[in-house]
Amino acid sequence: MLVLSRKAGEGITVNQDISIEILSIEGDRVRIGIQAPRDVRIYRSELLDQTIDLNRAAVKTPNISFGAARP
Amino acid sequence: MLIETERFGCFDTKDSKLIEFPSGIPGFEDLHYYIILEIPQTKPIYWLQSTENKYVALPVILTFEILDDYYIDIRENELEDLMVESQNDLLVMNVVVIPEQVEQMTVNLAAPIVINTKRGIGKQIIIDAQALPIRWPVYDAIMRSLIKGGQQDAGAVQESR
Repeated sequence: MLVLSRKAGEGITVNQDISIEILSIEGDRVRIGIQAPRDVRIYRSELLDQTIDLNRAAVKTPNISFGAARP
Repeated sequence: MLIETERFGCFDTKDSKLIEFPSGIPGFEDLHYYIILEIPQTKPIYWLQSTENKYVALPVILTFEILDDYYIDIRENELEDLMVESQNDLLVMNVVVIPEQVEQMTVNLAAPIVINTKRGIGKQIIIDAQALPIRWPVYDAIMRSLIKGGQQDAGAVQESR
């Protein structure tokens, strides 16, 4: 893993077409601006972790039936 | 081909019903082939059943069938990965988590599973958007759709044992 130290207002460029800028730092929160081509999906990492957890939880579904709810 | 499932027994299905997930599904990266099962007792919940592991069946809804205002932005390159030629071949489903208290079931709107039904290729994509909660209470919407009736064809394997 590449580790860098940056100040507010400074940035990082990835692969020439992705630029990441540190917009501000306040306490333990960092605001980050990212510019990337449309085909690059950007999401908070925890969304993938949570989706993994939810997919695994979904498989443990109890037996269900909506028969009674049918009109 | 005969497909064994833990939850619903055996299904005899055409190979053409197989859906390949080249990168798997998050949490099940090693499983690459699924079929969509349509079980009358659980409709409008369908099941994305692994054909490689009988214990892995994800309950899913065809989200556009249940929610009137679901909106996702699928990127050109994602459509290319799925080899989509026509929007009509796209099926969008979302995974439902159903606890013992069924009324508390939620759907992961942030991670739609997108399938090209014509070519049999699928992918779960993650979309970071405020309008797409990862745990959205979906029970009431499912009950409403049951009363409303009328469902689209998911290309699912019907129960025929």
